[in-house]
Amino acid sequence: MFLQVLVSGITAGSLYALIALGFVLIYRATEIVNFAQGEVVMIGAYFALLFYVDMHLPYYLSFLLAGVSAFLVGMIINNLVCRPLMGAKHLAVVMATFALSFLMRSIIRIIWGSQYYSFPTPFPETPYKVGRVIISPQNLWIAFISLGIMLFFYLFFRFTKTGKSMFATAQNPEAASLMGVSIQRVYTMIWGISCAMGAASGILIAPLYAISPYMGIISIKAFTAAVLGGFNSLPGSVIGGLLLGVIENLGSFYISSAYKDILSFLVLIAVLIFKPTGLFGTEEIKRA
Amino acid sequence: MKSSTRMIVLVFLVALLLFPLFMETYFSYVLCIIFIAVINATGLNLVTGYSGQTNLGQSGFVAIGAYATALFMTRMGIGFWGALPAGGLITAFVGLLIAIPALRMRGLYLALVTFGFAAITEMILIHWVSLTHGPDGIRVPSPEIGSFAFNSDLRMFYLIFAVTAFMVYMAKNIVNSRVGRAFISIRESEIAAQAMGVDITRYKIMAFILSAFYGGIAGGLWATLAMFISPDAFGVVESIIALAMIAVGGMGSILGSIIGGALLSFLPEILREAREFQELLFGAILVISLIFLPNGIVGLHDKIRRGLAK
Repeated sequence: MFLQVLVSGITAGSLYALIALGFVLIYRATEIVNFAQGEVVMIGAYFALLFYVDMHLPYYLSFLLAGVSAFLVGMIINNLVCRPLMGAKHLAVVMATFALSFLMRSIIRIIWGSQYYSFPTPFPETPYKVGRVIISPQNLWIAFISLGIMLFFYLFFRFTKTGKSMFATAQNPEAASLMGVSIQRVYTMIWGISCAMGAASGILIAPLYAISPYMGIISIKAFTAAVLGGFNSLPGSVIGGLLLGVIENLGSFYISSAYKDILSFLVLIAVLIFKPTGLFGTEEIKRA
Repeated sequence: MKSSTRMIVLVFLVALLLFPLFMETYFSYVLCIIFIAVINATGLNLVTGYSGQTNLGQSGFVAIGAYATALFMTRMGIGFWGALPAGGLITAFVGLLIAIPALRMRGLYLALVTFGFAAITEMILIHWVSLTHGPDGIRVPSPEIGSFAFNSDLRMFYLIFAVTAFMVYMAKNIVNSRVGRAFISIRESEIAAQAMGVDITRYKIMAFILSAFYGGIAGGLWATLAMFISPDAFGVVESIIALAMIAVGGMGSILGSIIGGALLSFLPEILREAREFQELLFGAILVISLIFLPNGIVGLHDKIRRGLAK
C-alpha cells in the first residue's frame, strides 16, 4: 500500500512541480515573484476549454495552441506591465502581479461567467496494474507530460544559445547585456515560457478539477513547493513539488485526508521558520 | 500644520460629522467601512510605507483583532470598551512575534513569511472550531455605554469616526516624532541609519507592533460594525487590498493612507451589483497607478507643483 501512496504522491507532485517551475523561472530571471501564476494556470485551462471543447480540435493541437496563446499572454504582460516598472521599487512589481491576477480573473469571469465547467479526459479510463500498484492512465500521462516539459526546458536552457543567454541574464544582467544579450528580449521570452508552463499545468489539471475563475488557488500548493525546494533553485522547485505531493498523500493516507491541505501549510510554516531559503535555495547577498 | 490647512481639515471634519444625518443609513455604513479601511491602511503604511518593511500579512492582524475583540465580548463578557483595546494589544503582541523572524529577512523572504502568516491565520480560523466556530462564524454584540447601545449604522458611524480620528492623529504624531524619522531612515538605508545611531532592531519591531495594533483595532471595529465575523472576510486577498490602498494613495504618507483607503473601499460599493467589474476596476486602478503614479495620488500634488514651477 505504501508504494501505491507513493506513486499517487508523485503524480500529484509532478503537477505542483510544473507550476512551481513557472514561479521559480520568473523569479530567477527577473527577481519578480509572480503572484498571478495561479491565474495563468486558470487561463491555460480556459484556453483548453476553448480549443478542445468548443472548437473540437484534437487534444495535442489544443494543448499546443493553448501553450502558444499563454506564451503570447506572458509576452504581453512583460511588455505592458513589467517593462514600465523596470527600476521601480520591488514591492511595486509584486503589487503589479497581484493586480494582474485580479485583472485576469475578472476578464475570465466577464467572458465565461463564474460557473464551473467540466473538462472531458482525453486519456483512456481503464487503470494500469503494475504488480500491486494501480495507476490511472490519466495520472500517468499527467506525470509523464509534466516531466517531459521540464526535461525539454532543461535541455533548452542547457544547450541552445537562446537558453544560455537567458541563464546568463539570470546570473548577471549587466554582464549579459555587455555580452550583447538583449535583456528585455530575454525577459519577454522568460515570461512567455513561464506562462506557457503555467498554462500547460492548467490544461493537465482541467479534467481533475472543475474549471472556474478560482481554480488558480492551486498555485498556493505550488508556491509552497517552490518555497520548500528553494525559491531560486530550478531543480529545487521540481524536487520540492514531488516531495510535497508525496508528503500530502502519505499524510492523508496515514493520518486523515481532512488534514491534506493543512499539511501543506504546516510544511510552509516549518520551512519559513527553520530554513527560509528552502532545501536547495541559496541566500542572496544584497548590496544595501 | 499651516493655519489655512488646519481650517480646511476642520471644515471637512465638521461636514463629515453632519453629513450622515441627512443621508440614508446605508451611507453611514459605507463611511464606517471607509474609516476602518483608513485605520488599517494607516497602520500598514507605518511598517511598509515609512519603514520600508514588506508586509503581506496585514489581513492576519485584522483577523486576530476582530476575533480577539469578538471573543472577549462573547466568551468573557468584557464590554466593548475593554475588548477593543485588549484585542488591539493582543494583535500587537502577535505583531511582535512576527517581527522577530522578520528582523533577519528582507525583500522576498519577508514577503513570504508575512504572506504565510496571513494564510496560516486564515487556516487556523477555519479549523480551530472550538474557539472560532470555524466557518459558522461568531455573532458579535453591539457596543454599549450604560443603557445606550450603538445598535444602528448611524450610531456606529460616530463611534468609528471618533476612533479613526484618534488613530490617525496618533499616527500623524508618531511619524512627525523621532520614531517616524527613525522609520524613514531605516527605509532609505539601514546602514546609514545604523551609522547615525538608530537602533534598527528596536524600530523595526516597533513598526510591526504599531502596524499590528492598527490592524487589530480595525478588525475589532469591523467585528462590531458587521455584528458577525467568519473566516472568509479575512482572506489573504485583504492584505493585498490594504497594500493597494497605500500604493494608490501614497507610500509613506498619512494623507496617502486616507485617500487610498477611502478610494479603494468606496469604489467597490459603486459596482456592488457586478463583482467581476469590481475586480477589473481594482486591478486596472492598481496597475495604472503603479506605472504612472509611483508615489501615489499624494505624489500627484508634487508632480503638478513641479510642473507649474517650470
